[in-house]
Amino acid sequence: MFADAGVVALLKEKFVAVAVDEWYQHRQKDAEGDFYRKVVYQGPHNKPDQTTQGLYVFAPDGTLLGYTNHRSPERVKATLEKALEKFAATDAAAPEDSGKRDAAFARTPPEGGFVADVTSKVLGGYKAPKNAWQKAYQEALGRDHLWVTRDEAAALERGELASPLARRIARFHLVDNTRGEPPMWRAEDVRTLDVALRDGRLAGRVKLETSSGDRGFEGEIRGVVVAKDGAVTRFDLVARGEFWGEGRYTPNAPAGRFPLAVSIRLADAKDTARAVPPQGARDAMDYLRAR
Amino acid sequence: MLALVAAMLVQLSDEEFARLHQDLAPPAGETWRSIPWKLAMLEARDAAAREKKPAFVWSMNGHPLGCV
Repeated sequence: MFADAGVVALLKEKFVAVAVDEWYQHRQKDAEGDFYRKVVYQGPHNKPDQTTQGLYVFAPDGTLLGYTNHRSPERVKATLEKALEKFAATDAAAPEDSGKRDAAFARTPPEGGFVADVTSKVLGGYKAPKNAWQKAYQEALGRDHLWVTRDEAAALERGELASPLARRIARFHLVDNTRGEPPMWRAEDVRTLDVALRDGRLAGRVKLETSSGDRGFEGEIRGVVVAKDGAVTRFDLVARGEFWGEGRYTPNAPAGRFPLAVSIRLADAKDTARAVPPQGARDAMDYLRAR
Repeated sequence: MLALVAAMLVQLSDEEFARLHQDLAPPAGETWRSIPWKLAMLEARDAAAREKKPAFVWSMNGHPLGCV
């Protein structure tokens, strides 16, 4: 829907756009969460145990002006235009006090560390797509962010790869997130992780597999790490291997073993999306410790 | 499929590394990136009040800008 020039132009000119992971906002016990629930509970999903995913339009006082969960540009455009008509008839109320943020749901990139962009792609193995949506899923890039702590960044500058960083990459980023939210790997799923950094070149092998064997990844990791003037200036990694299995929210994977690649690079400091926490950071302690 | 899997067994060369790293880079100029997204409801609410506009929320389980 955001590939449609008309939708994008409308949003840029007539709306303030916000993107949220409802896992956080729906649960937060603070002004942010209260306001989110106030808005979305006016729509069709109004229970704490229901997903509230969708596209909403609201006035600054929290009045819901429109909702759809359809992704076709026509439906989205119609929802936006109808909401604009309703908005013209309402007053924009003054914002309320924001209050304190619920610390249990606050996620900020590690101070002194850095953020990297992570992308993944299924390289083959799918049957011919039956429709445009299926084709889009099959060709999609999975995206996420990797957080690197201050100590791990300092180790990289010294030419060393800290074990928690290697394990974090393996457990939380060598996943197939091209069709939706993937299950992460448990600590015990890491069967082999033999990765070393020498003279700025990172190389090794990894094998990840669930206890039942229904899901796994086995492959190779390579990378180039450059540090200059006390900062990591290049962090290019590629993992390529065979993946098998799927998760509850990543159905319709290719049958059997299929080729998957994951790529990592430093995030653009000017990119707003850089502040979006890694998917695995919902359990922030587990993500950062990465045992 | 067999050829693809067989290719996985071959060591990742410098050329393959560079090609995959390039191929998996997010495309430049993606339209959705040109939208000035806010990342919090209250930030959007306050901006909407200032600019006298309605706010549009893209809510997903898994952050939309993380694009999982």
